[in-house]
Amino acid sequence: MEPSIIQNLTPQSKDLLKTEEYWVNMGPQHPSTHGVLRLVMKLDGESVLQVIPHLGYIHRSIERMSEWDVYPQLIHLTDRMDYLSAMLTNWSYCMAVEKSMNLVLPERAEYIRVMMGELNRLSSHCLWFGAYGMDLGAATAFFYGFRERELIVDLLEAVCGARLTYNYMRIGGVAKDLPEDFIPRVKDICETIKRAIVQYEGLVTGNVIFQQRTKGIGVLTKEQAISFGCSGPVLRASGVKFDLRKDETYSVYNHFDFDVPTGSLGDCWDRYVVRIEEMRQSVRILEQAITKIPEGPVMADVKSIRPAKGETYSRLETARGDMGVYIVSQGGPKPYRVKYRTACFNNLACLPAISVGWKISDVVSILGSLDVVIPDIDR
Amino acid sequence: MNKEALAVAIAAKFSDVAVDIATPFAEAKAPVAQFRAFMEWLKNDPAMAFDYPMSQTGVDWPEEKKITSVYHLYSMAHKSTLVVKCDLDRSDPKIATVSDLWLGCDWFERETYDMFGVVFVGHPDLRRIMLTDDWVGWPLRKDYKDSRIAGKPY
Repeated sequence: MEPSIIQNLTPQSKDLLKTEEYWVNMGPQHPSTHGVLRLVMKLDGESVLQVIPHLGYIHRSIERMSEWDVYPQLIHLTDRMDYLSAMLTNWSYCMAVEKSMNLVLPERAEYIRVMMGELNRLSSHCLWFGAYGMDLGAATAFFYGFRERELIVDLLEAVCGARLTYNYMRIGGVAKDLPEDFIPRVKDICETIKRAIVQYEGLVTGNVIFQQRTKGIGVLTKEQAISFGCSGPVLRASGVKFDLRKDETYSVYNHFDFDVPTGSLGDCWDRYVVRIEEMRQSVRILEQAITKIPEGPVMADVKSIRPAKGETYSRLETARGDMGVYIVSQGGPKPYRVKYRTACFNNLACLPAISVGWKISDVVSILGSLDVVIPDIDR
Repeated sequence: MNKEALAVAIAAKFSDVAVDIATPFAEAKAPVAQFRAFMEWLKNDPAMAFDYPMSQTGVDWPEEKKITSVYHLYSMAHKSTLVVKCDLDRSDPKIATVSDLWLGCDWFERETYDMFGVVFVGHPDLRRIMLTDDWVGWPLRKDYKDSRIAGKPY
């Protein structure tokens, strides 16, 4: 209410306007928490005074399960963490094991991984676009986002047989070579996505309601973002030009020419703009990859998978940010300890700090812009 | 900053901290008593500037009667990585918190407490993060027994 209106009220009316503090549970079953996340919020009227996230509703103890099985049997578990970009979580685990064995992959396998990774990043961002629009009440965005995602998921299904939990990467390469019509289909998808992004921007970016729900909301400063260990689009939206594909380059990403988009303020709007721009960059990488991909084998010659005694830490840029895999090996066929450092865990950790002072509906907007996947946090 | 330069800089300042450079990243092994001062220096010294918490976790070593608290730190300015390890007594694992130096370590430390029972002294809100508050035991310790995970279920 306007301050001037409040000043002109009688004392009795002012008493009626008084609000009181109370606690509200959001989740674990709430559409805008994108899974099973419970937020306990202390509110004053509609203003948020405190947010306490409660995690663990989908904790499956993947780290403990990883100690039971031999290395190749753990790949499918990584699918179940960030299930919206499962290719990339597969890849980050395989890369860690390969690093501990000093395994060099055939170049075709690396190119296939990059293409799968970027396709998966696109499909994940398409889904995020739809879901974020839905969070803010724009139902049409949901259909737009899923329309393009469907094309990509169909292609990934043609490659590996699954639509969500791919289990396609292997230690030393990928499970099988690409189907014959893969390159033309990727070309087609690139063109479609480029057209679609123009539509997305026409539908949402210029929308006044959308801008008012995102601009200046949930500002995450540069210092906070680094200190919380945020990564991916969340970190870059706060103005940190840091992308593992460029700064700690791995695989064959140094063969490609692409930009790292950044924001300036670190609000919901910047996180939206950065992700949309990232989709364009993924298309750029794909277009270069289909012209450069070499012929050859897709698996390295792997005889036995027994990393030497010691430990490895590898990092990979998933659709949500820095995914680290820490493996302690005793030289046996099973890992001694595996720690998955997932991007969403840290990206959610900043939520209590940035949502205080905003309205309860803004928390939905902030949470959507962080793009968290709950199984990735709980593991 | 490369591994050798890191080792030299650390040795000049903290003589009790042993640095191993044969590993993929430089590994510093800090004694519990000096741990907090060492971490403060890593965070605040401009030549080090390890401002990004990559990961914090524990590793259980029942035969050596210790739990190792492992920190992976990254410097955005220098693009360097450092692993800090601190061995704790397994029967009473206690270590100073660094959640005020790196805000991300707040949840990392809660997870390590949840899974290994490591107590982070000075942590503002040391509760279980994944499991329920009334859970008994520390599930990622090697000797953890639970009828539901007694054998492989498949």
